Amino acid sequence: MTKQEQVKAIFIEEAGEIIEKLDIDIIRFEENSADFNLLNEIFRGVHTLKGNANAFGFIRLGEFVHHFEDVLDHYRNTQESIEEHNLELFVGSVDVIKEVMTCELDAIDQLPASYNECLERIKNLLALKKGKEIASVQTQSAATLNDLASEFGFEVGEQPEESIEKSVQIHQEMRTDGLNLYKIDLMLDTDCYKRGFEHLLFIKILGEKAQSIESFFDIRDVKTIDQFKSDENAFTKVTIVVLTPLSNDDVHEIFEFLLDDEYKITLIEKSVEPTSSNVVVNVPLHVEPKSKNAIVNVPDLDVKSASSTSMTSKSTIRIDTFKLDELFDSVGELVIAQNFIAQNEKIRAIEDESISRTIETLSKITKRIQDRVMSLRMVAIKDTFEKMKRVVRDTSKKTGKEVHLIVQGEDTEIDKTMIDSLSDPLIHIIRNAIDHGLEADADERARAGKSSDGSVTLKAFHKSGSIVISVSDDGRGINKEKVLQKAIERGVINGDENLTDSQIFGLIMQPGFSTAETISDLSGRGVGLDVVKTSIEKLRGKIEIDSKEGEGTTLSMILPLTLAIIDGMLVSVADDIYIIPTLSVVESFRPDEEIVHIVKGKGEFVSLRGQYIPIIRLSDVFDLQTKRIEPWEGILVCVETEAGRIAVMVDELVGRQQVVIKTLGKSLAKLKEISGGAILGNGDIALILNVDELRPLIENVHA
Amino acid sequence: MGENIVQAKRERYLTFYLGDEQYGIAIDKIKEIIAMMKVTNVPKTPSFMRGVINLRGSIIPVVDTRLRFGMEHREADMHTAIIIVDVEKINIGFIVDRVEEVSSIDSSNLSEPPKFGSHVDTDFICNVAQVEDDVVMILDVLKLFEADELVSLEQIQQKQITEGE
Amino acid sequence: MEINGDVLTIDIDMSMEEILEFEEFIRPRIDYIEVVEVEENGLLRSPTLLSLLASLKRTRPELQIPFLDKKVISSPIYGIVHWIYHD
Repeated sequence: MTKQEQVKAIFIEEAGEIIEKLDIDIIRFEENSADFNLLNEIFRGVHTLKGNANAFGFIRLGEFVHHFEDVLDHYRNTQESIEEHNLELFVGSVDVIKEVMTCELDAIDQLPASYNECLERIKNLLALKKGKEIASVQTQSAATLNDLASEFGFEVGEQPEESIEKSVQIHQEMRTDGLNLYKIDLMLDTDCYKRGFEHLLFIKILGEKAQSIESFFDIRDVKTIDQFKSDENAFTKVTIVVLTPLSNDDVHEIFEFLLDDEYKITLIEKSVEPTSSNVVVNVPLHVEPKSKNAIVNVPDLDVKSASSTSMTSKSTIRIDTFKLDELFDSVGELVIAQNFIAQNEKIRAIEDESISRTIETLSKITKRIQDRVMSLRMVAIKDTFEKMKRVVRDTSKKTGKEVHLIVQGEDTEIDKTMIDSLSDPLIHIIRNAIDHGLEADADERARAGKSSDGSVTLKAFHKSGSIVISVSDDGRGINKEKVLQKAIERGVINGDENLTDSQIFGLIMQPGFSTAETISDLSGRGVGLDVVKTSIEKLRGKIEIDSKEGEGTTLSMILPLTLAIIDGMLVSVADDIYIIPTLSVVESFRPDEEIVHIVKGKGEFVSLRGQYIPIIRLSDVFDLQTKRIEPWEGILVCVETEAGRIAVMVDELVGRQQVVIKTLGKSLAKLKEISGGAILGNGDIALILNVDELRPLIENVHA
Repeated sequence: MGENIVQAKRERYLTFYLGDEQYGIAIDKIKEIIAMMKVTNVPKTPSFMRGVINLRGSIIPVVDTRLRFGMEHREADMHTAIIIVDVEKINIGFIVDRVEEVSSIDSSNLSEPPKFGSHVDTDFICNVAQVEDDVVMILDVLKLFEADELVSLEQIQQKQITEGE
Repeated sequence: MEINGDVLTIDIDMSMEEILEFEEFIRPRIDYIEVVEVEENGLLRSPTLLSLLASLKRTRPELQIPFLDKKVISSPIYGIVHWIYHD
């Protein structure tokens, strides 16, 4: 079979299916002729059939279907009720279509007798209906003349714009969730071939992903042969109608090498009421400026966000997260299997370039698959930020403070499961920033030499394998002395600690510290911040506070890229490998003997920059059978925990890598010191430590 | 007719050996049987909790069935196998000495377990079956699971807390 | 490309070089050829073919080009392609 024959076979099969469906639908429609959705369905089938018939030279079928389509189109547009005898005509027409199809397939010249009769009736009906609509002088003879041309799928007198519009409508009705409809106009100049651009190429690229694509080449301005130049583009305008899962950005990317005035991409909005098919909302997207820093002025916020959210209708598909997890697991297995091959001694011993190249390719592909699967879980933080605009507005109204919200990096992607848990902490932080972070009123700000409007900056960005979401204000800032004083009063600290700035600011998030009374006199940053801290820690993240008195405060949430993956430091103890989340690691080092102190009845400590940090022997915590070594013979990994820093003593550092967190199963989930497991490259399992839970044990040991 | 069906009811069991004793687990509870593989030790668990294995990317806890039933430890050999049991979507591996066969046991051949005479706590044995000359003790995995998951570990946790105070 | 009497048959999947060849061939012979048949055994590779056919038709309206009159092709790669020209 030639390619053409293959394609033909496919189309014939498709046509067969359409006819079968028509057969059923028309009977259902006969029973309930008020069901316009069903009528639309029938219309679509007939339309597709028309395209197929004409494309494959089934002219007799094409002509019949063409007229039938027009009649159906009339009814579905006017929604007028269908007379009973016409219903019968429709049912009869489907029978004719079936018969003609057989004739076409078997190349039988003789058409069934019902063909002409039925076709005449359809034409008459159409003339009757159209006659009512347009006060036209359309005579019977004119109609016959038209027939000749209209055999070819195109209506005489029908302007290209109308055909395009019709195509848009058809596609509008074909669209399902997750598909976007675009109308793309290409207006390439005569020398575009020399620049390497060619219409069909674009259509081909678009077609690869498309559900359906239809294009219209306008060659009305083509010159006669004496002026014709084959190396010059003769198409003044090419319009493409495409139904595709591609996002607006993806589509723009395809045309990015063209000049701005050479193409226009129009995203066709989903029509609210698909049956009122004449109304198509066109939103010219490329006109909308794409600003990276959307500065939103709070008072007229609603207007702006309303117009911008309507643009963001990205094509999406809903997937059960369970399925995603399964896919994730399978990819995990793939990575492990791939690592096994890559690291296998026997395979490595084969000195064959093609094998090593294949393994390298395999590892690249595996990595790519892993990244892509990972990205499936990621969504832009935009929607969450949108919500925050509202929070800013409300809080601004309530407090009577004029606030300028600056949003940055709203396209930053973040794990879907994390996004839901982020809203509440963010709301909390933003309210705090406006309510207590900013100065009480414009006067106070004026005295500090600041503009009367306070500003709050909401920012999301990537930083060394983590995602940072920060909220900054240009308010009063935090008074360190007052925080320290309060912390001592409340017994959060003793006062003899040598705390860094960030540790001091961190105090305001301690549970004992943040009570309602403290708000006003301490810029009130404490309210409920311990709650915020806990929820961020649940996401395996942490909070950092930076502040300059008189200038403002920045609160940053540092989160792992996804919930499923952490950056881990691999350590070995008694030949077992454990993983410490890198996020909580402050530093790791082999201590000098002089800085290790043994305090009677309290255990071992290491003094570091004036701070005494308790040493925790992992081998003791886990009762591991191993040779007892001195701290200066091992490695101390200094980690930040809920109760301050601790130095975890291990035998060796093995490395650092991203690991996929797995649960150990219900039966082991109660082991507090261990938060999960991860599978390493060689297939071995390493347990992930929960450093916060290493603390109470120490106190017990050293009590 | 209905009576006949009840009488003819035969269930399939996977039988395995621990030492000289033959045990059986209903086949519908068994996900798969794998050869002994590397088990990663999990600290602070009872000794019969041998650790976790990597079963094609999933981490699954493994119980040393001998230790669980109070038998002495035995080094793994070529017959040692891990039976992966699936109860309500929870997978746990059981290390056994040797997997025997899948045998159909007529429900009429099942009888109440004896109250003594076995190494095993009779709580976990729901039936004893006579298969030719052998006696097969049919395990109630659900009970075993419940015991190990909820009772045993909670007790350990409890013990730690009280010790800590 | 094949000429049989006054019928010129060309393939739809002509490359640019072949189209140029076709153009070169037909330019001086446009008045002698009655029918241009397009064999649809393959994929339309260049839209230039369309514009060239349209130009021929425009130059000599009595020239029969059934393919051009069809105004539509269906392709597994490009979907449905319509062309619009004055006849």
